[in-house]
Amino acid sequence: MNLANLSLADLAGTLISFFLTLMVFSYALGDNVLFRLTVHIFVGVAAGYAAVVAWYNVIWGQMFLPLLDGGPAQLLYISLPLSLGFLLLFKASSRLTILGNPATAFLVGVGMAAAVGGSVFGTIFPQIGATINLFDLEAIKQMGVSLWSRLGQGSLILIGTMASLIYFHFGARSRAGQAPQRQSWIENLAWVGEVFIAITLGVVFAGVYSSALTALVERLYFVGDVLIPLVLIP
Amino acid sequence: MRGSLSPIIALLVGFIVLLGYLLPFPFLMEARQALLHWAMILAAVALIVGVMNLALAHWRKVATDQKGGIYSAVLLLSLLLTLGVVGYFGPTGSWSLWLFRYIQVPIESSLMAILTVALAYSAARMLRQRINMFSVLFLLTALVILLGTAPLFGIEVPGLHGPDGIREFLAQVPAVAGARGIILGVALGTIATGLRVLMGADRPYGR
Amino acid sequence: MDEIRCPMCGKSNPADLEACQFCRARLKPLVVSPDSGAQEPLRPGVPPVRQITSHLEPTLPDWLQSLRHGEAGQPEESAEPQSRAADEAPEQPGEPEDIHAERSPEEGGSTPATDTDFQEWLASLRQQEEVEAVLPVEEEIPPQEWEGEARPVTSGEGLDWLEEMRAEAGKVEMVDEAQEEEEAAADLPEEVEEEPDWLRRIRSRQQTERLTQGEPAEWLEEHAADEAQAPVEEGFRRLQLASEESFELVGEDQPVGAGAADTIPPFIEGELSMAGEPTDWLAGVALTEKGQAAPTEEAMPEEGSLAQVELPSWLEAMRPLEAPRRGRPQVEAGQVEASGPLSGLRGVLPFEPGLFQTKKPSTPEFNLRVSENQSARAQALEELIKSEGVTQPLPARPIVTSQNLLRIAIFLVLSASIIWSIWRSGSAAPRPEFSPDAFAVGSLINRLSNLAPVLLAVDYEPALSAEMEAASAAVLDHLLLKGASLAIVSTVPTGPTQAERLLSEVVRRGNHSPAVASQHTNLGYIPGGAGGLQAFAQSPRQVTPFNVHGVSAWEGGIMQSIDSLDDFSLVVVITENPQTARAWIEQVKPNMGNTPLIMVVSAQAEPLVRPYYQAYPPQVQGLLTGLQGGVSYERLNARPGPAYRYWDAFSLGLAVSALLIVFGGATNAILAFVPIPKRLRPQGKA
Repeated sequence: MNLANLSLADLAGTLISFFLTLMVFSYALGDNVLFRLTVHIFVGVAAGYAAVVAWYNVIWGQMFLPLLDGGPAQLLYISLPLSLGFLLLFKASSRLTILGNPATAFLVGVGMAAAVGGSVFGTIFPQIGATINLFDLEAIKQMGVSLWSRLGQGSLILIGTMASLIYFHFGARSRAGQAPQRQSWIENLAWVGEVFIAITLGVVFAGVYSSALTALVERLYFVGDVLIPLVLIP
Repeated sequence: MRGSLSPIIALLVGFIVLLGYLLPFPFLMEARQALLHWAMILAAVALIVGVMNLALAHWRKVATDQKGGIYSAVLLLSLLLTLGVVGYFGPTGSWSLWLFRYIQVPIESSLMAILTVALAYSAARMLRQRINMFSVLFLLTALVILLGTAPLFGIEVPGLHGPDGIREFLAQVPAVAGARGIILGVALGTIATGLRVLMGADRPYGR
Repeated sequence: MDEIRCPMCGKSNPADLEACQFCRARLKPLVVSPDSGAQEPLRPGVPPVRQITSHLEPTLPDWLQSLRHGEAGQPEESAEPQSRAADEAPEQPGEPEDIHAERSPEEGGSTPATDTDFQEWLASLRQQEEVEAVLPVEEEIPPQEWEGEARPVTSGEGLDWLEEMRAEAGKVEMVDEAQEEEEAAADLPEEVEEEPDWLRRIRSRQQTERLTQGEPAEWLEEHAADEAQAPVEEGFRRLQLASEESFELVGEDQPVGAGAADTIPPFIEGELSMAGEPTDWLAGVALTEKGQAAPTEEAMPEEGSLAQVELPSWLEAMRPLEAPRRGRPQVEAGQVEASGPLSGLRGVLPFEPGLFQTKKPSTPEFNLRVSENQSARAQALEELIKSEGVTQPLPARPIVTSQNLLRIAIFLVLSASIIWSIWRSGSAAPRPEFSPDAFAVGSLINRLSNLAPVLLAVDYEPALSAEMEAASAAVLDHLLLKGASLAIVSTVPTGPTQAERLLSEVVRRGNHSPAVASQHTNLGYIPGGAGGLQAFAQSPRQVTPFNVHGVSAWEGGIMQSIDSLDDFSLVVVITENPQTARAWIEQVKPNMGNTPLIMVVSAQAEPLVRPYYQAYPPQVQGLLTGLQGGVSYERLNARPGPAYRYWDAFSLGLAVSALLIVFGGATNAILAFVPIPKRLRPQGKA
């Protein structure tokens, strides 16, 4: 980065970014005033940005513009979200929050229905089909891979999938004088599932660490891009 | 009766949206589309209400001179500044981009970068807190994936790196098996929770 | 030193103490000095000495004397005058009937002890007729029947007995009979209700006079004064009248019928001399005009208005020094009950509830006997209970702890390794080989025709902009090289801005022409999560009618031909969130038809997206993961980008991190089995 080629606004912005980065990195020494200030600045900017984008892209264009320019059909169409949106504003008041319940119920109803439908038709059916198809001999042939290695992998994936699902089964039978306990075959399969889940979470942890390390590399590159010219110039 | 209006609304709209997945009737599809569109608009209004609530909460903190009020004042100032700049120039205006590029992105990236230290520290101390087979397996898997992602001090170790290495095997076979079980479990939980909400057994929207 | 044992607790105390030092009981009983003329204190169990009052028999009225002589041993007949007197008493309005109606000879108040005294008195009266001088008699006189009529008392005789009584009063010692007095006072109401009128009359005479003090009763003095003036016959006539009529018995302040005052039954006299105390209960008895007994206010001696009652020594010894003080209930004097069964009585409790204000009895003051050890424990318990509600300040945390030092060390080591790699520059780490995943993505993009409409979803947060830009820059670069028309959409509020920034960086870095850069439509933000995506998938024109500049997005360029998602040639989703990726797969993919879906995801989302990619048929046709995927794709396109730049530092950082985790994990695993010295343990932990 050549600081000399930057405009005044970009130069100021670069310096501001530099100091903000250092203020966040000061958290390595422990919680402090600089870090808290930076976090509060971030929350304010992010909230403001989100509110303006929601207004610009959705509310103004799809709620108020039809009121001003739209015909009767559009007015009728927009009347319900307009009234529900007005009721939703009362959710900000602790006394009148009950007035916003119908609008919230509308949101929740539509969202939950979409989630349920997507889970059934987008995950459960395709994934169960995918697990079954691991043993599809025609598909294996088309892949051009070794049959036995593919079948072996398929078996491992099938056992791991079932065992992971069984691990999350927590129904237990209670007996007199004993703590509730799952049945022995469920316990054994759950133990196997726990092995697969431990491996999966290990991979997830490594992925999170990789993402964070990439951010650290990028930030240190930025700091170097600012500092090095300042050090080399004299 | 007044208390049962919200559950009726949730049940009615949810029923229409769900039916649309199964019955591709034109009238049903149009009603379903209208409901989805209206929900999308209301979601934007809900986001604005959330920002209003955030501002009110911090304003109360400043007005009542509570501990940490100065931080709340800084938050409110940055919020108002952003609303002014982005609202005037638009989300993709030059100054909006400046605000986004030199304020929001550096802070968020730095917060993500500092997470590296916390993750490394927690991984190092994990075996001290709880040492059993699963925690050791978890840590070993993470180490193998980390070491197999990039060359080790410039050296690609056979068996570890490459498409046939153990890293790829772990990521593509047992991790997929466990992940498939997890996403199936998540989907089943979503179905159960969604049906409970639609039937009125759970009312997250209030009475 | 001499010691004295406490009569209450039995503990030894110094002899010079007045009260016990443990229980505060009096050690030495109170003893009346001989100068006051008091008798020796009465000991419990010692029977009182009976006094003979037969010399007073002549003063009795005739009918009483006749009773004594003629009815000896006939208790029923002796009760007749009582009933006769009761019958002769005129009925008074409001008078409780039960008091008179229920009165029977058996209930006439004639107790066996009273009958015996009455007979003695009658007998003494007979003897007195023969004896001129009243002699003090100490020995008991057997009960005699009442014979004959009462001999009228002459003035001279009356005066003689009065003088003799005065002489006797000086000789009679006051006997401490507090118990008997209390019993007599307690029995008063029954006796008042059950006694015949004549007896009541007699008792009302000033028997409370202080004989021990040698002062004759007032009524005696009055009588003496009256008798000095009026002849005895006149007095006898008065007595007869008094016996036949109902008359008022008043307190000691009011004159009594002189006739009645002349006759003092010997048993009453005896009782008085035995008690040695003025009979307050007699003085307190007062009848209204209606002939009903109503205790006056004076009848309830108030605290401080009475002369000190001298208690027996053994009773006095029992009194604790700090005895509870109880107030006496205040009875309103003069209030006559107007309704109910107690109508006509004065000073009774009101019938109507709620007129009294009940008061909580005062808490008695007790001095407990506790040792020092017990009081110390009680105080400690009290302080413990008090401290429960008080918040304790947290101990100040040290600024520099081992945890802080370890975090600083990790940060410094990592930063140092990355900075060293940056400083060194040059590509020391080998680039990864072509991955099948990158190859699949490349193949899909290569199939695109020029100006093919591609839907680009920029759905990542600014926090992971470094990784996602490094991973997706090569894909975008490839798309721009293919001349694709991009329609940008986002489910994240900052997505449209992120997309603009990403595109500008790719154009700048890839040296693309500005015309190519302008071939994109930013459709903006889609709120609502899964519901919003479902709505967009069903009808993209309705959900995103305008672009970010507020201009209609579907009326120009390549967007005119797009009606649904399956009209797009390719859909590329760039996201770091596995939930967002799942939402795109669940909600949008079913509406895409044959349009392929490419996902550029963060390394943290890969495990949860790969099952969709590895499914058969696959739900995701192309998958690129993190910085590694970006580097692989840049190598495939032979166009280095940001992924290439970060790769060296990233690989060194990964290696150093793995070593830190291995070293730290091994150390902590060993320390987990080594016991920590007590001095090094954190506060509050075992």
